[in-house]
Amino acid sequence: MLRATFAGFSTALSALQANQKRLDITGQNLANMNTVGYTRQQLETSSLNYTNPVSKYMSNPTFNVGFGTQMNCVSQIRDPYLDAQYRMQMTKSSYTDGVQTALDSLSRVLDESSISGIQKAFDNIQSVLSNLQDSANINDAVFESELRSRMQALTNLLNDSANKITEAKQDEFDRLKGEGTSEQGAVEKVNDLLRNIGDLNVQIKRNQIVGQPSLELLDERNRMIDELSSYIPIEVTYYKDDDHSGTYTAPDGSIRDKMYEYDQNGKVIGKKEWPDDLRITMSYKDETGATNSLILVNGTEGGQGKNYAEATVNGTRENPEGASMTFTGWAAYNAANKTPVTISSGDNANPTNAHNYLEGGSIQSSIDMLAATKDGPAHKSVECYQYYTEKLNMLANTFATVINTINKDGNGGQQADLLSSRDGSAITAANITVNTDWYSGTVHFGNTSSTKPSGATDTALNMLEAMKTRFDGNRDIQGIFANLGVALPDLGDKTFSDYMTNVSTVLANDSLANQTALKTNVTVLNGLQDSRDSVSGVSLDEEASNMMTYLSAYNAASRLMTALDEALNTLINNTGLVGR
Amino acid sequence: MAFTDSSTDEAVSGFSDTLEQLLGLMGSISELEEAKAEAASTKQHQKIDGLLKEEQALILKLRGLEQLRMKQAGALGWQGLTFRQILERADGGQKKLLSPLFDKMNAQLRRLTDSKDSADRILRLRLKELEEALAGAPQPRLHDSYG
Repeated sequence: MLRATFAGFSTALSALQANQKRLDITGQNLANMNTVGYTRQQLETSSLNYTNPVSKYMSNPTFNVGFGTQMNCVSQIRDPYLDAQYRMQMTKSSYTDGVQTALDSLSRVLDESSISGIQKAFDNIQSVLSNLQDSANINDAVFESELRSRMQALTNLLNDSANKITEAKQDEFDRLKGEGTSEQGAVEKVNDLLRNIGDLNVQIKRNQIVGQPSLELLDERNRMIDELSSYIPIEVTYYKDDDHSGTYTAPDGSIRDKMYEYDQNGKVIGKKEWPDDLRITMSYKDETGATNSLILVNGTEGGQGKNYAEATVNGTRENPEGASMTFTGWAAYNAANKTPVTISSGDNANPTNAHNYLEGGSIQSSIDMLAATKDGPAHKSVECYQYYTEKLNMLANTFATVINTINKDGNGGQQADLLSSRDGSAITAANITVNTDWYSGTVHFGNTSSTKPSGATDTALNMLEAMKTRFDGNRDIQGIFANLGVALPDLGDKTFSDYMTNVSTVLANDSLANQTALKTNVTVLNGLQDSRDSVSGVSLDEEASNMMTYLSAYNAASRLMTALDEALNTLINNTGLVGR
Repeated sequence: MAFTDSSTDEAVSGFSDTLEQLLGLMGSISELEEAKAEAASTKQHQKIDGLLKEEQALILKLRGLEQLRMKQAGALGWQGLTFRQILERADGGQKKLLSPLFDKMNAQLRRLTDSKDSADRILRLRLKELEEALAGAPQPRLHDSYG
């Protein structure tokens, strides 16, 4: 069997073209080595050869030599395992990062180690009361005025702390919803990402069907999926659409696989070339404690605008406690499976109040920090905003009760509140204030009267004792509470000052533990990113080495063409010339 | 075994001491897990061996303490109960003593699970990279076929 005269030239030509393309791709990689989200590209080739059947009757069997190389496609170098690990770690890191942001805002209010705060205000009150013990000072209006000023300073600090915690809660809510702020909230970002990924799914598949790989769009989609994983835990899967997966029954009754082409006799003659679809599911712990999932983006099913889910925030900025987020599955979902999933913080104090929650992500961190009760969610790692609000309320209310009860005793059992609430409701950290009647002189600190000759002195001594008492629900101050029928105060066996120190310590411990967790999570995330970059990122050394290899291959292909030309010249001009 | 009031108090106090020790130990294991995760992330593989040995010793200690805790819980009639169930059965004083410990235990357990999860993730990746490197490396020949 004769070889085609010019066969070698097409081999050399295919090698020249392939290596030229490889050099072009190397250039593209180098040009984008600093482009965010760019994935290294490579040329995929295969050897060209005919697959003629070999017949045993052939008289002169020949060896089949290939006809060069075929460029199949330009592909990206990605490792799905690394992508999945990176995204899981991203979800985890974002949760601890979100919690840290909340703890930092609380620290600015309650960190008594770095700011002269509530604890110091209690110490100042104690100091004035010590001065008031002196009989020379007890009836001096200046000392009473100083005590009032110190009380005012304390109530101002409590008001300020309570207001700042409320502001921190509202900021946290803004991070979720973002309505009315200059920055987008998490829900808007998640909805944007889901819509864009859904649209890209459609665009990419449309391009891939006509043979355009759309690598840049794939990069864009991967970048968005990475970003989405910082908000919620997700899983990404690739699959063939319904028309190209599963089986069907052929007219002859046989069961056939949709991914293959069949001839008229029912024999497989090829595999259908059809691009994969991408599905994104959100995994969550459901009300029974089991891991469940909700499809957020479902390939291209339903078409543009219908293949993705939507999220909404429940709650208001004015009452952000107990905020939650509802995810409604992809729009084209059938009605039976379209039950929305509401993600909330649940309630640690009431474990029967089952709820869905996410195991990570910045959205769950905001929801957890905004838990409605001080106990927070059962899965909590740190105390929530409401814990600190209620602790401060307890402190303010107990302090006011103790001071007012002792002063009532000092005033011969007549109501003489030194501290009150601004709006007449129960005393909290936000509304506690010095009674205006004390300013106007209608109410006095203790009162030396005929019925209570030592009223003022006793009041000073009793208040001083109260400042040093560890209230545990069993301790009284000189039997005053029992006499006046007031419930004994309970601060968990702590003085006012110690109670505040304890609140501050809880915050400091939570913050330290969370910072350590955040540091570990971020270090691991960076380790995963480095590994991912070593696979998908552009390495200058590697590309430079590839460039030299491809150039050598290009030169060799060029030399092959020259050699073939020389061989042809020999064949045409110098063969069989003897005797001419 | 029936307890008198004072012996019950002693038993509860012993139980809370064991919980305190468990807390400390879990904290140490969490720190080791964090160190492991950091060493693997920054490719300081030489550190990991030492950390693993240290961790094994702590885990043995943890097992011992856990057995002691179970024995003490059994003696108090709390065998196999969850923290929440124990608190439901405990009286006022016991609740006051145990409740903060259980809260700390929950938080410490979360920290341990969290750090272990991170360490496992990066270690699994490093093992995968090692396997890939070994698969790509030229294999040593047992016999030189060319004499």
